[in-house]
Amino acid sequence: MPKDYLWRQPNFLPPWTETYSEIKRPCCALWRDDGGGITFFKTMTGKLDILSCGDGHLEIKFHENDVIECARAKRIIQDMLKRGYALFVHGKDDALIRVKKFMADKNVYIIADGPTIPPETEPAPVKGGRALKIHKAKATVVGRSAGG
Amino acid sequence: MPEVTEKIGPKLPTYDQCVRGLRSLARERSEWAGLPMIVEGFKLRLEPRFPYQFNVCSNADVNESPNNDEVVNSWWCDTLMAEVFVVRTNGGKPYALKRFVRGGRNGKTLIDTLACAFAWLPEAESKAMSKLAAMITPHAMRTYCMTGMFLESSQRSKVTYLFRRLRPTLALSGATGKMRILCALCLHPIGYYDGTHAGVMVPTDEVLAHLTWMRGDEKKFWAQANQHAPNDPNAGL
Repeated sequence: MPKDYLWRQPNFLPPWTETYSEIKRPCCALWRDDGGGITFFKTMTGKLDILSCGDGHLEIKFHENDVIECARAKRIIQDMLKRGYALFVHGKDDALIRVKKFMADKNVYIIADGPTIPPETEPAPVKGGRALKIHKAKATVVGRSAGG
Repeated sequence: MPEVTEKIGPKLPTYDQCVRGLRSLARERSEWAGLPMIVEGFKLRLEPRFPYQFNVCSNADVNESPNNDEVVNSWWCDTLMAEVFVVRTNGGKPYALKRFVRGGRNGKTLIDTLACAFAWLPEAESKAMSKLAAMITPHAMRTYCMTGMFLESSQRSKVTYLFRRLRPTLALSGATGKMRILCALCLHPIGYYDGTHAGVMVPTDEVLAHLTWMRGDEKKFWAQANQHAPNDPNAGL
């Protein structure tokens, strides 16, 4: 039996499968065979919460190993930044850090360095900034302001 | 009963059906912040760069004054209980106009805000509240559920913010010893209904937007929001 036999079955859903676009489908999983036992690992999942009219907020989740989902998320992030939406990633102690730039070729957000940045950040090519992989980040997105 | 229905005319969609329809349309057209709902009788003020400007459906342009009078300045006067406008005519001679507010300082605004409730879906509000619950402390969430407001202080500026449902956020400072209101910060993502406290997003989503801006970029939050003086009726006090 091939190692990916189970999760390739049409009706099989791993226990952590999350909804995406109202269609349930298995996310990419890592396989480990520990002396006959079967263990699934949840892959890294990025999340975008976009505050939206009529929706409360629109949730977009994308898994690290799913190429299609990641490409879609990249397109959405680029489109939102182009339209002037503000992206905030969640850091330590409920802090939010505004995304300064998005590098689509490296799949990273560029954020300002500081004490509240998430621990998953890496050094960025931009001075004074840190890079955060999109699939390791949870971001909240707010549309442009109309004043009040 | 069938006769009555015939007299009324064809069955029109309800507000809820329209909002759900707009929600589907927004997803089809990749409009990530959604499409706002029009409420009869209120001018929808949208962010100028928003691609779907629905103001063609309102009568606001028709009702506008045909002359080209320019409003130079306007402010709220507590003594007169009126909004004072300084208007410059075509000839260049400025004069003052007073707009008296009936029913107290902001009675009309409150009633108009109530009328906008049909533009929102209850499930959207509950979804926004669940997100808010994940972002603030249980104590703050309790006060929000019970009173529609909660307090949070900024670590950086030491300013305390009173986030209020359907009202502008109050910025408070205790730097001088006594806590005092600095101003009311009014900010609506995408758009709002003119003359009301209601935005196009559900009320808790607007609170979330204020909270996100405050935590993520406080300076820009102040820059983007309209700053109303505490005695201004637009401050919602």
